[in-house]
Amino acid sequence: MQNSAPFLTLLLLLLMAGFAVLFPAALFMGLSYDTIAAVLLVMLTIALAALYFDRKNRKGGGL
Amino acid sequence: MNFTSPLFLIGFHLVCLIYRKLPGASRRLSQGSSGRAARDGAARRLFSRQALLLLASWLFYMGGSLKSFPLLLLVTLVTYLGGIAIEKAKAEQNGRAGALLALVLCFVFGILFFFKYFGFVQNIVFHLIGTHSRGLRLPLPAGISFYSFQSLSYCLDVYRGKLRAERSFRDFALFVSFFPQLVAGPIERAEDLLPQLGACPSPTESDTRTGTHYILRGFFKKIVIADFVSAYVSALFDAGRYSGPLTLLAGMLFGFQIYADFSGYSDIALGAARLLGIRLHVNFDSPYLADSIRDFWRRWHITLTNWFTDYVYIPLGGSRRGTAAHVRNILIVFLLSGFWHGADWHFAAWGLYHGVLLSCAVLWEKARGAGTGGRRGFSAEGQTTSEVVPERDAVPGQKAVSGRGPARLLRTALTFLLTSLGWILFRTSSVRQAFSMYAGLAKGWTDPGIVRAALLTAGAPLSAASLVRIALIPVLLYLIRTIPEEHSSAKKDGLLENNIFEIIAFLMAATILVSWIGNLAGGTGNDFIYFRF
Repeated sequence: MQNSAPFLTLLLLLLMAGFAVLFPAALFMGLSYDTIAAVLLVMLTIALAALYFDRKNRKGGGL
Repeated sequence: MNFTSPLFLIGFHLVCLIYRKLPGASRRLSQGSSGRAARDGAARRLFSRQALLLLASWLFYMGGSLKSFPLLLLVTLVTYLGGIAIEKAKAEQNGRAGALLALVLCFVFGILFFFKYFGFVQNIVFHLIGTHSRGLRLPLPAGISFYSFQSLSYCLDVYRGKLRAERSFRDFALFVSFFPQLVAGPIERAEDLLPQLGACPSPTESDTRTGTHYILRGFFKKIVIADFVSAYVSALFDAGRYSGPLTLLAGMLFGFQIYADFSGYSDIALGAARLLGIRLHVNFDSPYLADSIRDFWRRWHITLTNWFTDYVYIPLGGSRRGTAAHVRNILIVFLLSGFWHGADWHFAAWGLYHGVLLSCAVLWEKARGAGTGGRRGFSAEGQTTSEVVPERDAVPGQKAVSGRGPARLLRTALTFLLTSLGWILFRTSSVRQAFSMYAGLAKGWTDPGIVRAALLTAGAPLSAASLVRIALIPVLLYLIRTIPEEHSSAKKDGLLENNIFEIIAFLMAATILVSWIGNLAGGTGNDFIYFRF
C-alpha cells in the first residue's frame, strides 16, 4: 500500500481534476444530471464487476 | 438530525477530530488493573471522550427533535434506576425484582403506547361510537421505538442475570443515546455496546478505512438509489388504476427503495461508529439473496428480529410446545413486529402476511419431516443474542455462497416475489388500497401502457438514462454488498489491486455528488423511511 501511495495520490488527483472539469462541461453541453449519473454508474458497475470476477477467479468460485 | 444534512456532516467531522485529539484510553487501563495514578489518568481520559460523545449524541437528538429530548432523558433515567433496583432486589432475594421489572416495562411501554398508538386506538374508539372528532394528535418522538427497545433489553438482561447493572449514569446515558444508532438502530445490546463505550477505544487505521467505506456505501444507497427510486414508487402507488405489471413493479421498486434507504442508514451508522472505534451489529445481510422467508428474516433488520426472538418468541415457548403453539408464537411475533413499524392496520397486515408465510413454511417442513435448521430467528430453541454475529466477525453476503444451482435461484426468485408483494401492504396508506392493488394483479398483462401512463402523469423521468439507472439497481446492490469488509481483508498484489477500491470509492463519491445535486434540483430528496418508526 505504501509503495503505491504516490501513484494513488496522482491517480486520485487526476480523477478529481477530470471530474471537476468534465462535470460542469457536461452540464454546459446540455447533458442532464440523470445522464451524467447513468454514465458514472455504468463506469462504477464495470469497476465493481472487474473486482468481483477477479475475486471469483482467485477463489475458483463466487465471493 | 438527518445523516444527509450538511449540519450533521460538519458536526460529525468536528466530533471525530476532537475525539481523536483527546488522549485515548487503552482497554488495559480502563479495566483498572494498574496503580492509582494510572486509574486517575484513565478516568480523566475516559471522561473526556465519553463526555464528548454524550454531548454530541444529545445535541444530535436535540438538533432534530428538541421537544422530544426530555422524553429520551426520562426513559434513560427510569431504565437506569430500574436496572440498579432490579439487581439490588435480586441480590437481596426479597421477591420484588419481578415487580420492579414489570413496573419499568409498564412505564416504557406506556410511553411508547401513548405517543405511538394512542391516536390509532382513539380512531378505533371514535369509529365504533360513530364520532368524527379529530381527537388528540401527538407527534411521534424521533427514534422512540428504537431507544425504548434498546433500554428495555438492558433491564430484561439485568433481570435475567446476564448483565451487571451499570452504575455510571454517563455510560448508561451514552449507551441509550449513542448518536450513530439512536434514531433508527441498529438496536444494540448492553453486553456488546456498554463495554466498548466504557473503553472508548482509539480507532485504528483499518477502522478508518472500513468506516469510510461503510459511510460511502450508505450515502450511495440512500442518495443514488433510494431517493432516485422514490419518484417512481410514489407515481406507481398513487396511480389509482392498477394492473398486474404496475402492482408488481411498484412492490419490487419499493422493495429496493426501502432496502437501500434503511440499510443505507445502517451503513452510515456502522461507519460513523467505526470511525470512533466502536463496532455495531450488522443490520442487513443481502436480504434479497434469501432463498426462503425464514432466510429473509435472518437477513432483514437482524437486530430487531433478534430482539423479538430473545424477548418474545423464546419466552412464549418458541418451537418447543408443539406445532400449534409454534405457529401461534410466530403469528404473535410478526403481528407485534408489524405494529412496531407503525400504528395502522396495513402494518399489522404486513406483519401477519409474513407470519402466515413463515407458518406455512414451518408446517410444510414438519409435514416433510425436515428439521427447522436455522441458526436463529423463529426456529431455534433457547438461542440468545450472543449468537448474533457482530459486525467485526460478519462478512455480509457470505451466506450467498451456500447452495447454488437453478433450484436455489428459483427459491430466491420466489422469495423475492413474495416479499415484493408484501411490501405493497407496507407502503400503501390503507389495507383497502393494498387490496385494490392486489385485485389488479390479474389484469393488464397485455397492456403495459398503464405503467407508462402512470409514470408520465406523475412526471417521473422516463429517459433512457433513467431506465439504465433503474436497471442497474439490483446489479449494483449485489456488487457493493461486500466492499467495506472486503477492502479490509483484501490481498493487494498489483497496481490495479492496490487501487481498485480507491477507484470504486471515487466513482461512488462522484455519483453521490451528481445525484445529490440532481435530487436537490428536482426536489426528490427524502428523509429516511425508518425515521417514522
